[in-house]
Amino acid sequence: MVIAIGFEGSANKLGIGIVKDGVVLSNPRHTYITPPGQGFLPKDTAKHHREHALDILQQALEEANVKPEQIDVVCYTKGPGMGAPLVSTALVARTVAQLWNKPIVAVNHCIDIEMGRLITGAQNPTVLYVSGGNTQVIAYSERCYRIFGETIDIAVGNCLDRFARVLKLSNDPSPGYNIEQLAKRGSKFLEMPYAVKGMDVSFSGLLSYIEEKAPSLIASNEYTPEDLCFSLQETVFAMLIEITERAMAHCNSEEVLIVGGVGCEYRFIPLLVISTSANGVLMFYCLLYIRFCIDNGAMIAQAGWEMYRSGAVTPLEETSCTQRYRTDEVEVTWRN
Amino acid sequence: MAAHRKIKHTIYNDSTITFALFVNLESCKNIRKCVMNGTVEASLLKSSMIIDPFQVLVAANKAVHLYKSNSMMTKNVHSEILFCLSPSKNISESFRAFGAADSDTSVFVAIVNDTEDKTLAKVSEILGHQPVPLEGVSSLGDIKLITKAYKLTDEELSHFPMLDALVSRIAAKEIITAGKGRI
Amino acid sequence: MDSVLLKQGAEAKLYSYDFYGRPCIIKERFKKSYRHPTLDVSLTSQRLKAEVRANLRCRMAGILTPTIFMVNFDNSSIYMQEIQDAITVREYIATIQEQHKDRAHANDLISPVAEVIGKTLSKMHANNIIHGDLTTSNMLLQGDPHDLKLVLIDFGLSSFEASAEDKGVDLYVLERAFLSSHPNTQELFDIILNSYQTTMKDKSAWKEVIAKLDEVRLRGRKRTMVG
Repeated sequence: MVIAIGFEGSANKLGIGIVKDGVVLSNPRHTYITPPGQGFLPKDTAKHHREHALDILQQALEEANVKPEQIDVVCYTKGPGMGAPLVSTALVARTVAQLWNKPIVAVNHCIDIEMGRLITGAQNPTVLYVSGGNTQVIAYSERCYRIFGETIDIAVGNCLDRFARVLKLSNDPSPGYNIEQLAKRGSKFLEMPYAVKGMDVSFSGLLSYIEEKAPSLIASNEYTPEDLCFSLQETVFAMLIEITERAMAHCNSEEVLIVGGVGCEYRFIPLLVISTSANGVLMFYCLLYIRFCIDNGAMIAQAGWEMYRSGAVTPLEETSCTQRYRTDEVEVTWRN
Repeated sequence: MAAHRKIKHTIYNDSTITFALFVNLESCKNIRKCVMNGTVEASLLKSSMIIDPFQVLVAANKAVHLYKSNSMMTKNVHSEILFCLSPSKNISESFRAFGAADSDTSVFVAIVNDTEDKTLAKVSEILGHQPVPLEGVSSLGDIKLITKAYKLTDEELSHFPMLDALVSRIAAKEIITAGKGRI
Repeated sequence: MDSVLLKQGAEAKLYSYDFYGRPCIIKERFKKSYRHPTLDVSLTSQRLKAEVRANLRCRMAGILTPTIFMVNFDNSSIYMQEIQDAITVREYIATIQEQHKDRAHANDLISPVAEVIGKTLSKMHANNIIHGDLTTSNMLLQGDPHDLKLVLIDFGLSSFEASAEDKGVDLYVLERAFLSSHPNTQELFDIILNSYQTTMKDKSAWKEVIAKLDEVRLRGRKRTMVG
């Protein structure tokens, strides 16, 4: 029996989760929300995390009904993410590990695919990892998660967030969520640059196109903001599904797992079902459990728990952070 | 054994394409007149622009398909075969370069849906000749003229049979000549 | 004529067919119902045309591609020559690696193919043809591997661009596909790049493309990954 606690603060959400042998005992979070039209700055985000760390930790322990001495391992996000928030969260993890005298495990945030596998029961899924800073299609081969496709410029979440800023949409609870709400009421489709290159995608041309066109299209009443959100979402999601499909065909994989914040935009779910069933070959198997696809502590605890079981412990002097971290830089020791 | 050939269309089983080659003619004047005034429905192709019956087959196959899907550029399926055979987008230029002329002493004839070979019989009668084996067309083709008309490159001809180069252009004509006329 | 389904890909079905006595492949793009209908119609037609156009442009430059027999816009299909006695480069590499467990020796055996790939791509880029989806599955090796004939296929994502950026991205796409399909073959990819470079007549153009390739590689690694 192993109990793991995970600290995640790579972006604007601070999350602390406790997992006991694959069962999530608690997973509270707190999100730093900025005014409309503004992104979150590293300094202010780190401040938010520092201010809420103790409350959230208290809440995690209470909800899980676990005492510090029962915990076996402390896990935290090493990266990738924004530097200052990562460091402030790692500091909390290091402090409690020393305070409680527990081993510590540094986790690559991208590896929380493991959480997705655990929840859905998928054996060998092709993973579409979509979040504010990450857009990757990942599959497992030769002891590593290998990146088969990814964005060659900006991430999809970044593209959506920046368009939300053009429209001055609220950041509460997230810009992507508000684009989704508007998109549901849009109907008139605007064709925009569609850039799939092999298994990679590019969003920067699409973003500059819509950033430039949006004000005049809205002013002239040709398209409503709803229509533009709808068109943008249809286009980027079609691109993402296409590269996922290509990777699946490439790897003969029959399962898809979507992880990351943008995965929560539920439009993906019906899209993938349609995609896979119409195709006849790719079998739709599993999908996200929404609560877990947003950055959270339980994911980190889960990944750290798997690493800890296979004998991985990070020496305290190596418990640093890194803003840039490739999913395929981590050798997977816990999967056969 | 008859020298002409009748082929079922690869998609439309109810459509046939008949090919026949006539050589050693005095002229094509009379038969051209009959086609012009509509008493004979056939396509009269310039044999010097053809190196192989398959070249015409690809054009005729395409013409019948365009006819069936209502997307012809010319007024009937026989003129469409001529137009399809030509790499040019200009209809009258295509007719001039790929249609038989009055003074021609040989002609490659294509007929769509020739029930009981009645049209072919009529063509034979007007020309006063029987068709010869189609393969004979390869010795009538003017390689220089064809190379120029289809803008074949040396690079291409050093890697591919000429027939394949022609066939690809015919099949892809409307796609490659879109825009500024450059491939 | 009966057609026999050979393969169901991510966006097209491939049938084996007899086109008036010629061995033929029908590539039929199907509707993707997850896409908005306007987007779907537009992409399908764009890709059909792009495929045919780049196929012909390559032939004119002396690069081997299948002969096209017919294009049917009604069902978005292309009828083309079946390349016989051919295997994909992907299969070829996998077979050699299977037969020769010593990686260095296997790489030596594969290197002539890598050279031909580099040469072919160099010629393609010199003619401003961007393939858009270079993988070892989209390259066929025909006939005797000692007299290497490389046939390029699947031009659906192709475009015509003179810029070093587009050529660099084209090579990047291949590098990614190459290394993910064939792990531990960096040296083979280096042979491709080397042969690409030696074939390129315009050396400054080559330098620019490689500089862009390095830039795109870095973009992937340097991107800040905010959760």
